[in-house]
Amino acid sequence: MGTDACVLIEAVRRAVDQEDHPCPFLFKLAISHAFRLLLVEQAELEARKALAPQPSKGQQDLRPVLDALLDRCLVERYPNPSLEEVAAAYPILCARMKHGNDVPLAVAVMKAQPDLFISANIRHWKPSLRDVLGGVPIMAPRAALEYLGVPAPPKRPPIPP
Amino acid sequence: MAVVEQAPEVTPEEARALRLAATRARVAAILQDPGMAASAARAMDVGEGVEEAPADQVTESAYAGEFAEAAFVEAYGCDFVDGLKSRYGG
Repeated sequence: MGTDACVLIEAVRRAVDQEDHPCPFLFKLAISHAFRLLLVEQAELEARKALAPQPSKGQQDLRPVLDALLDRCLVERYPNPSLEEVAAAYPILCARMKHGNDVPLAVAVMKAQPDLFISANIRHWKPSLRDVLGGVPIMAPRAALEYLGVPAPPKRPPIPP
Repeated sequence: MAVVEQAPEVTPEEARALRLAATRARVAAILQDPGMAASAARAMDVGEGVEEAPADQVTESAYAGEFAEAAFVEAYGCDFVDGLKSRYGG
């Protein structure tokens, strides 16, 4: 399973705060070796930057927490694509994603062909990207858990106006 | 003359479906643990509805990707990023 940087970041932050959320639960499954994590260099680099100390936001260094989580998972690291590969794919992918910074990650996903790519950012990582990524399904964390067979709770009735 | 049987070819989609079935079986086995099942239920309950939000919003995540560009620049160099963005946007 490939993961976007935001899934790593959310998993770490919510694990530290002991919050229930689909992202840390995906990591619980990964720690139980339900699947291997595909970690693209670009996603890991972005996550490490976001988890570095940020005194202005009162954030401590959360990178050791990420390391501790990853150490317990089966991780397959994947290098960034070359400049040439990114430049060649940029017009097609950026037009679909509307976010140039994620193009290297998308090219890596296209090459690595994980069984699933998970991102909480549904603005840039739309399910329709599957067509240009060689058939890799793109899902948000909760949808990914459902796809993997985690039962969803019954729908709550709508709150009357 | 001996007849050599060829194994049926498996398409990438079929291979993915087989791996998915194996993953689902492992997930189902993990969820037999009552603690994991309870944790799954809480995670799914928290996540309910978040993916139905408008597509122009970054949902679920408190993280808005402010480090994505820094990672791109570090990996590829600023001139390259600027060049692509000036030509294609993004």
